[in-house]
Amino acid sequence: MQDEFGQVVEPYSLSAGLDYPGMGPLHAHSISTKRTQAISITDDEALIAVQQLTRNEGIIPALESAHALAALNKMSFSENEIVVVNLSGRGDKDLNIYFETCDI
Amino acid sequence: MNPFKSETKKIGLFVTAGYPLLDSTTKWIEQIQDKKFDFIEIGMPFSDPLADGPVIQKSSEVALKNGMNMRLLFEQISSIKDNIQLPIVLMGYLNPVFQFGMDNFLAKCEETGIQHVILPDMSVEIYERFYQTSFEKYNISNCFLITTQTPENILNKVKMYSSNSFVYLVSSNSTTGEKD
Repeated sequence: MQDEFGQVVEPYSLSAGLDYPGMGPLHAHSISTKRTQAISITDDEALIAVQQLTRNEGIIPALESAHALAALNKMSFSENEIVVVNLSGRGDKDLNIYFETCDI
Repeated sequence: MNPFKSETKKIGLFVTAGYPLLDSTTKWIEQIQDKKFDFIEIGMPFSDPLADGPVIQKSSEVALKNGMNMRLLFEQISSIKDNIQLPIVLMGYLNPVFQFGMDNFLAKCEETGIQHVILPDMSVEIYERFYQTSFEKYNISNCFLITTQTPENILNKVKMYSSNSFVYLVSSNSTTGEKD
């Protein structure tokens, strides 16, 4: 994340793991060659996904992973399609944020 | 004029562009013309100066707040280039140069009479793979950084690429400036 002069700009995310301006070269490459589609998720959308997974599956996702889950609501799938979501972290580290912001 | 062609000791002076005021750099350069320096190193401020310690970090921060950027720096150097005798070495980080465009950057260096740059986060491998042709086209030398851990094959390349400039010997696994 940078300005027009290549200076790094201060990022923001409710999720500590995403509050970072850098991007891995592998991700950057696969997005620019269109092998990967990147979708952005707001804090609110991620928090809704936290509650959905918690209520429906009994799994508390980390805030970072909740962004991946929230992307499901923005994509369409055909019936019988198998969808894999990488749940990269556990949500017990984020419980204080969930208690403050979610209706749990 | 290339000050690095003779083997005598050289004294260079480092200033951060745009510090303490936006137009300080050019005034400074003009004022130190007659002092006993061999070259001036101008630091192009960057938000994440990873090789620099607190003093240069702070000056970069102030310079960026003042509104310094690469386009403006070249304009400033261009405005005084006929009055200066001292060679200028530009030091900065790869990302702002990358955004400016490497060819554009090197063309501006050539235009303003700058023959040497230091881009500490540009490795020899990246130089060879992406930029060597352009550096040679504009006749600009990069001063590479070496440490006591630099392998011999890289050292030999650095020696070859730096024959018109100097090699930056990093004295410790740390940033610039004094330590507590």
